[in-house]
Amino acid sequence: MIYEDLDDLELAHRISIGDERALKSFYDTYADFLFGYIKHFLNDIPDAVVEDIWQETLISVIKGLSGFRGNSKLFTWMCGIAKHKAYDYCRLKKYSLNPQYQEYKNDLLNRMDTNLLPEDYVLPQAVRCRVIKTLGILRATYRAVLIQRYVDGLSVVEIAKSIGKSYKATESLLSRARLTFKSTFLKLSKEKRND
Amino acid sequence: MTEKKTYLESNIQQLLQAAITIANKPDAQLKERTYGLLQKELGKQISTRTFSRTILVFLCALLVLMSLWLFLKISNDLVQALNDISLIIMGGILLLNLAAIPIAGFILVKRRRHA
Repeated sequence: MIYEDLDDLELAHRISIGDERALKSFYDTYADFLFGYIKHFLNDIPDAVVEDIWQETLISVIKGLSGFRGNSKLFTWMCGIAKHKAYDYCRLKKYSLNPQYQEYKNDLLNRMDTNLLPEDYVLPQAVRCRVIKTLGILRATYRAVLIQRYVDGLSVVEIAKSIGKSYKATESLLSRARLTFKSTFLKLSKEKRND
Repeated sequence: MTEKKTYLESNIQQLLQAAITIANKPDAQLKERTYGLLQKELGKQISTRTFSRTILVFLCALLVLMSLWLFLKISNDLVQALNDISLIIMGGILLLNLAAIPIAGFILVKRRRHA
């Protein structure tokens, strides 16, 4: 069975019945993204706090997986738990959360494919959180090729070789991944503007 | 069309590179330690959930029968019931169970808040 291809509900179910391989796949897929999300969400708060909240969130997720009903994407649900943990933690330790929460520019969404985005459009905290959230809910194959291409800097030929597809098929996969990334990013951005 | 594609590609690249950096990932040791914690937590969850429902029902039924029997004995002859050691033990068990209800409730509420 390929665990990466399991849908959210099936993955949650398998983990909640004690399937170790499902837990490993879940951890490999989401742990780093969740850490990145919390780090961006908390911005200037010390790393030790981020690590605590990350661990607490993951433990709560494991505890709550048997009750996950798939009303939202698994990663969206995890981000919600992380946000609550962050608020609770900061209230308890008297940290001021997001003193200057940087929102994204209003016309960011329209400029995605008409202009090259300047730095102040890309760097705000809200944008970084939203990018991580978008990646977390994309299909595993889309997420993998986008990261290989734009973060690891691999060429299309190298990606094609690593996933065992032809150049043409990989290019088309990348194109679909970009469009899905854009539409998911836009959808998330329209839903809420507070994370 | 090509221009649109180029802009989208460059912008996605910028967005991803700003969001995904090495500094925004947990270090390997922390990751390994946390995975161990999750395995342990999952193990705990499974063992809690595997407590047999049949045994639970049996224990509840036993408590109900014990309390009924105790009630009948006391209502028949209170003095004799107070001198019977087995009835006193039974009463003690029932009282312990009654006392555990608010404690169990407190633990359940606490667990839900943490979940």
